Amino acid sequence: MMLLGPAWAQEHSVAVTSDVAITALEKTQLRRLFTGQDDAWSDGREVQLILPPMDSEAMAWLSSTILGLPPDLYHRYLLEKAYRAGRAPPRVVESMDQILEESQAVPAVLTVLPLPVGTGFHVVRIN
Amino acid sequence: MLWSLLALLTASSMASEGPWTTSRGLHNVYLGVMGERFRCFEAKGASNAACSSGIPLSAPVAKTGAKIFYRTGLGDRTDVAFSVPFVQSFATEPTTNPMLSSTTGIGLVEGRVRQRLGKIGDVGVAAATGVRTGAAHWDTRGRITNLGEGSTDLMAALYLGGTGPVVGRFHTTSMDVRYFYRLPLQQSDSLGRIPGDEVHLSSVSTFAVTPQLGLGLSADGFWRLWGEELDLSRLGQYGDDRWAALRASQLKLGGRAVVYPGERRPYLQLSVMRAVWAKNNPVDTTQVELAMGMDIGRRK
Repeated sequence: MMLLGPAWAQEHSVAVTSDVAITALEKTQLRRLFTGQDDAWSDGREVQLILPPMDSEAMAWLSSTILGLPPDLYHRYLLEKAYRAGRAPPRVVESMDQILEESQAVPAVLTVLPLPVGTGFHVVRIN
Repeated sequence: MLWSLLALLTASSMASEGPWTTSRGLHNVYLGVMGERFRCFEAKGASNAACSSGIPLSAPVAKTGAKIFYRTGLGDRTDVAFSVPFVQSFATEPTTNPMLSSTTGIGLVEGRVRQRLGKIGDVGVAAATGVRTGAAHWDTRGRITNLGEGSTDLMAALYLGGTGPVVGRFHTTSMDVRYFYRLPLQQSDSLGRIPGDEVHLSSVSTFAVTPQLGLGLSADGFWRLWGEELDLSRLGQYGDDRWAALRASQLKLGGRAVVYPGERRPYLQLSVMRAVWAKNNPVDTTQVELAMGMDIGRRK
């Protein structure tokens, strides 16, 4: 029974836009990117975080698989970090379709998408 | 009487700011109200809340006040801040001692410029230089119920801090270390500049209990690096600067509750601190502060 897991367990993935030349990362590296502790890709470009809706299955997957932080606390953490830094918090979209739309205009995006991730993105494997 | 020659030396409350500089175009405004009370001076350097070996005043002294703190960005990594407290200090029981007369006015006015330097691992680092002055309460510096010692001091500071997830929650932790070069009020043959320079340390660590509420622990201390011990025969030579001449130190520990800001809701913070150690300074200070912060302007 333990192998079954939640329904969304295998249906989402960390994804980046095609201009990001990364195909695999350690879970700790991904956690640091999603929490803003690391904010640049290896080529020096700023990580553009676009997050799924806080009440979405994609966010639940990110929360349990990568962050170890409930979505509402994660959202508060992002606001607190932005408040401290005097910057705007990462974009949290209202629907999954918005991630696809907004990523067309922004390079170096890191996000979470349902599988398959679709055109313009590729999956980042979790080592 | 001995107590009549003792000073109100409680350091002005200054919560740790951390290394997070405010960006250009953004204005942070904090309004705080505070109250504190003490009755016992400790001369030897001890934890002595019962005042068993300390020197009790004939009447407890209280200080209440309000403070405005303003900070704005000069660039993406540089900000400037000012704070102005308005304070009243008074005895809480009837007394005819003029040293305990009620004093009302402007406390230590502070200003500083801060530069974010970068990160060491996950710890952000910033440095600042600034000035604080007690010129506005110079005339009443000789009272026990003074608002400060009337001196003007130059400051250099280092700010450290970080925020990150920990065990299913997140923390925000910061520490400020400030050195005050105090411009001399008097010159002592044996001690040199009076008052002595000071090191201040302020630290706070807050954990998010829920998305709306954080709870934390804080520490606030200062150490004056040289000065006289509590010896009346020697302090008398300094006149109204007798309190500034003391080699005073105090360490306070406490707790804090933070209501995190929302999109349109200000930041609220309640702090309670209690002196746990002092030398030539009040050892039973209890301090309560309620502060509200808000951002005006646009984030990048």
